[in-house]
Amino acid sequence: MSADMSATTLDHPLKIRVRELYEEYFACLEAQDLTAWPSFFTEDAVYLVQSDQSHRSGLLIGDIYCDGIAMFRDRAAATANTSVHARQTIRHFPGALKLAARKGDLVSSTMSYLAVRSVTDEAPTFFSVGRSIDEIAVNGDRLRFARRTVIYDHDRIDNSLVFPL
Amino acid sequence: MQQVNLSESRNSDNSPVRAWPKDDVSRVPYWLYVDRDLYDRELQAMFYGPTWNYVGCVDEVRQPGDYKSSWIGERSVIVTRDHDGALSVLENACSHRGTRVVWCAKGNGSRLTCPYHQWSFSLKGDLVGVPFKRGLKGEGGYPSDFDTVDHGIRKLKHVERGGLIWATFSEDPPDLETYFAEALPGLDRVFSRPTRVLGYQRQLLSCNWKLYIENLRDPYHATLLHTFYVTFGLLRAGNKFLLGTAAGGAHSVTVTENTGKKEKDSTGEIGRFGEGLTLADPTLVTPIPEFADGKVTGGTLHPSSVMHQQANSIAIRHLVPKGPGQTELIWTFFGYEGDTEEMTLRRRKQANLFGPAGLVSVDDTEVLKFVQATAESYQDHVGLVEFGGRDTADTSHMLSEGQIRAFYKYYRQVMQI
Repeated sequence: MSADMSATTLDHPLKIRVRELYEEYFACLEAQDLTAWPSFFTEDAVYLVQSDQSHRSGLLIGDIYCDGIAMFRDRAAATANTSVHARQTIRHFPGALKLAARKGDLVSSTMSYLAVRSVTDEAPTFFSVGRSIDEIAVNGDRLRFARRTVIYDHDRIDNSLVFPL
Repeated sequence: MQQVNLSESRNSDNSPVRAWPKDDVSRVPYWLYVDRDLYDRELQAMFYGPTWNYVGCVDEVRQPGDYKSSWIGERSVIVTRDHDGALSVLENACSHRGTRVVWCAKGNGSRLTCPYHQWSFSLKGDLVGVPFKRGLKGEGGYPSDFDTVDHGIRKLKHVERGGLIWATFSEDPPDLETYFAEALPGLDRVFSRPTRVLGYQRQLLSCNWKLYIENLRDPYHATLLHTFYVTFGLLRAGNKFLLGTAAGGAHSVTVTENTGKKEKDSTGEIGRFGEGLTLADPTLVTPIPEFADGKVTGGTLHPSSVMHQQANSIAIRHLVPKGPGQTELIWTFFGYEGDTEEMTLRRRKQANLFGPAGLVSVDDTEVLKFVQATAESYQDHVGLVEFGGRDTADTSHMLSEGQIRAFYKYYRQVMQI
């Protein structure tokens, strides 16, 4: 459990449920289950992956941008059906979780991560490391991301980013 | 690919002399992507030679005092906007001991100060401050004939056109219009209105810089590797194309149309074609009409830049070589001043096709890595480039590798190889 003081103002079960959301999300990514990936987002969710440099500059374009559930489904379908890439496994290691105060049906959350990629015939690499700033909707049948911004610490991606983070 | 006998002649150390395999450009030897000496010669003759290289845009250095770091070849350079409004492009190397002066991507200030010995320079590169210039209490310091005027940071020739900034290490470059020649109208067409940077994508490609240039001059692969294009109706093999080159093959110009509608002809040969796939959000590929001619354009601008205008996505791709086997690619995405919110949203959505996570571009970066791997381990093999013939003429269809041949015709002249 995080020692963060603001989290102590939240009910404990919620923090456990948020951590479970991340664990299930990362398990989905590790399984490369692209069909299930959109189900972690609300209908009008906004998802952006960009570098910390771009994030600090407030830039609108990053590497991946989805605005509305249709775009999640399109990216999932395109990656699963049309993308050509080397076989690879990506492990996601969640780090420190920080919850901010709940506003209505949304909880703001920050989670750091490390993603390690193993590509066929190559040694594993620390492929991406950074944090996500998320807004999690808590009013549905399960927790879902209403907004997810993945901000990686490095300036560039090594070759390609085939799967979402 | 096929094996050929290279020249029988030998260097003094008995290593084979590397010669072009055939006296035309329908064969490309694989050592071309691997050889370190050749790579160093390319840097000198092309990236640091009489060529124009994209280093940034006016939107990145809009305010007085703004500066940004950029690259020409492997060399870091600085683009500055002085308080009098003047743009400068400087070597990012202190004139004292060579320390990189600017360490960040962007900044703003009235001086550039080297952290090592605190030499400070104006935004135009003039040396304006040297600590202990005359020593301390009569001891040390620089000789009496030391003059700061002699020790500014080297200023590079540069040209701003249509909001893009081009620079060269050459003291005697051709003018920009002569240099880009027939490629200039295509560039002007897109960069004719004030632009704003919407964002960047950066990736380190595992391939030689020329393989990326070839990829952009290779329409053969477009409908075969990129099933995304065909599946979702952006492109089909029967599309009308204009594949041209400029300045003797140095640059390429590609013009086509975005029909924006799924068509099933000419897709029979494509094994991975996913029947029945439709986009839930077609705005990912469908443009808001923007150019009166309805064309989609792109081109390579030798040696380090690529322009694309596809649907509503407008970008400059900046190639930064990092050795024979690696190339950084920096994508700068633009919108126009005064874009509606709807247009900005469309440009953001369509950027999903490009860059390291691009629904189209991923295929290229993955494939090029494995071309490079073969080149490195089969250096005496050659690639076959005779699709559509062995000449370098422009074509009005996409079933040709003529633009690649034209590049190597130009390349062989410059490199004398």
